[in-house]
Amino acid sequence: MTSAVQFEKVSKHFNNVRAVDDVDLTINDGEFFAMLGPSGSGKTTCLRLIAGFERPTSGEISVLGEPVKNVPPYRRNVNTVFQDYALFPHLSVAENVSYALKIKKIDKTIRRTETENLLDMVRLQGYGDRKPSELSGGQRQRVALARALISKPKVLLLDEPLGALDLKLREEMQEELKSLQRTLGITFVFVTHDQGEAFSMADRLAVFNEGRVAQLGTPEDIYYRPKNAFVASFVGTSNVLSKNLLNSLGIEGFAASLRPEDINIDSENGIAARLISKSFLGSATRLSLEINKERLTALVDYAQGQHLKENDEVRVSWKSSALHMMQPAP
Amino acid sequence: MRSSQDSRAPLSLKTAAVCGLLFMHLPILLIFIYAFTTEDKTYQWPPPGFTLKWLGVTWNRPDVWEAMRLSLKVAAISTCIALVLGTLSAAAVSRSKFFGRETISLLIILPIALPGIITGIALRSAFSIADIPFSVWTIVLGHATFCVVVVYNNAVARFRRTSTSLVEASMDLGANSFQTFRYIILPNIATALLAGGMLAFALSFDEVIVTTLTAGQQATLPIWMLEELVRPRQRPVTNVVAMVVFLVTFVPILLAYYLIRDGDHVSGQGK
Repeated sequence: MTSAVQFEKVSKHFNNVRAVDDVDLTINDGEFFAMLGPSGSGKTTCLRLIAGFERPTSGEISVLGEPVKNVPPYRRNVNTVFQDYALFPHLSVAENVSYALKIKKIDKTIRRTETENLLDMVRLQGYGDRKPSELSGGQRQRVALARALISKPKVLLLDEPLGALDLKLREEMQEELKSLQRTLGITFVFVTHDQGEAFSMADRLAVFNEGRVAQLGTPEDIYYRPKNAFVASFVGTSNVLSKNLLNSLGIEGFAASLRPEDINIDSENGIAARLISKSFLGSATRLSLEINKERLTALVDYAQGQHLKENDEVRVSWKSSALHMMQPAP
Repeated sequence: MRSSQDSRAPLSLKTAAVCGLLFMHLPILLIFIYAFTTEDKTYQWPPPGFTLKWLGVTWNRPDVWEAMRLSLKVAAISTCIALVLGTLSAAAVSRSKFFGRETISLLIILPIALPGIITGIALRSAFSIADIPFSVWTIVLGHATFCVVVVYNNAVARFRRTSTSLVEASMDLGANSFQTFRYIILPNIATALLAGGMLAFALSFDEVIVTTLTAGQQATLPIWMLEELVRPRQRPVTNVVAMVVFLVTFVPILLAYYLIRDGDHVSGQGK
């Protein structure tokens, strides 16, 4: 299987800032790939490197097996859905969608049918004559998607495309994007800072931190087996157990992650902890615990947490397999 | 109810405003009236009678036509130069970061802040040092210095409001730089350029000081008018010409005003 996108020791420096720092990455053909990370972690720069808006300071990027060092953005078989959608304000929806075909000087009747097909696909039939300013945020997002897909790219890049939408619409679009990607069978590279979004859509994801890939893997890998403290704390609410705490419990290791739902309240044996606070979440109760002056968060059943009061001494335990050993941050 | 009453201006302020506007605009009306007077030596008030004969007289004066042609030519050429240079420099200043960008921006705007007499003297001495004979082209060069500013200011404002991702989106969809300029940038800045161009045209058309200092034997329309006032000969002809100049410059400025105002609704961003 050929790779859709490959980074080989790619770095991108802006003045003295290493936006992307020595990244090696392979995105497989036909997969839904997410780049996850806080703002400034280099994920958007990576996307712009693939699109060709930025050129790497060093290293080599290949798209579909071909090095793209000297290929300008308009000759790459890659299209982008921009964060602000970047719809052309002076053109109608149909003209926006058919722009790529007009540039390629494709026959007008073909252009029209293709545009109709794409508008059908994103469920915007009959909106062709409107101006982008007359559409809602969600509709603009669909127009941007249709416009990027009309020239049948092999790789579609999406730069936080759901960021400007409200929660309900965002969840709908997540499912829609996922099924669209399955139907088209092309590679989607999706940039987001929202781990929920990345987990629900991606086949694989890369977690970015300070211009480097902190971890690459499936959502399950990253959720249950974070490689380092950054990934563990950025992805969800995992507890990070420090070296000191581990040693005090008689465990060797640099650091370990422990999911809140893996901690059990155990009245007989277990480790002594003090309950700092508890909050009722509906299906579960969240406990904030202190062991050896370190805070841990636990999620327990309503029944288990019911009788506990703040400042209670409790005993907690977890299965040894739940404790996941980590390496130092990259 | 109360707030609408509160927001009303007192009568005295309204009177003052009306008087102020009349003070500014009545003299223009006087010029129009004198264009139709029967008396041709002095500006006598009230005019002893009204006639349309000066329109015909003006029509048959070759010197008026010559001055008019020169003015239109100079204004047209300097506007064209301003459109090209103004757009290019606006694009450079608003789209990229480079060393000395702020300085260049200031230097482009400077000619319009500089008194015309200084621009004129500077150009005049520069032309004589470089041994360039005074001609239509020296006038055009002089006018271009301030016409560029007008176009530049309009274009820069529009470029700033146009999202840079539009250009990237166009490139992403397969358009090269030329196609992107033609299909995306130009339509988005067109009204700003039209407005800037019209203002530039109007500025050039009635400019006197720089023209006086950079012209040789040629007389543009405003210069011709000044000469006529000094050596009166069929005085109302000057008024007829003044009326024409007023219309020729007023209409583009009015159009430019409406274009810029409407342009505010054209936002460059998808948000």
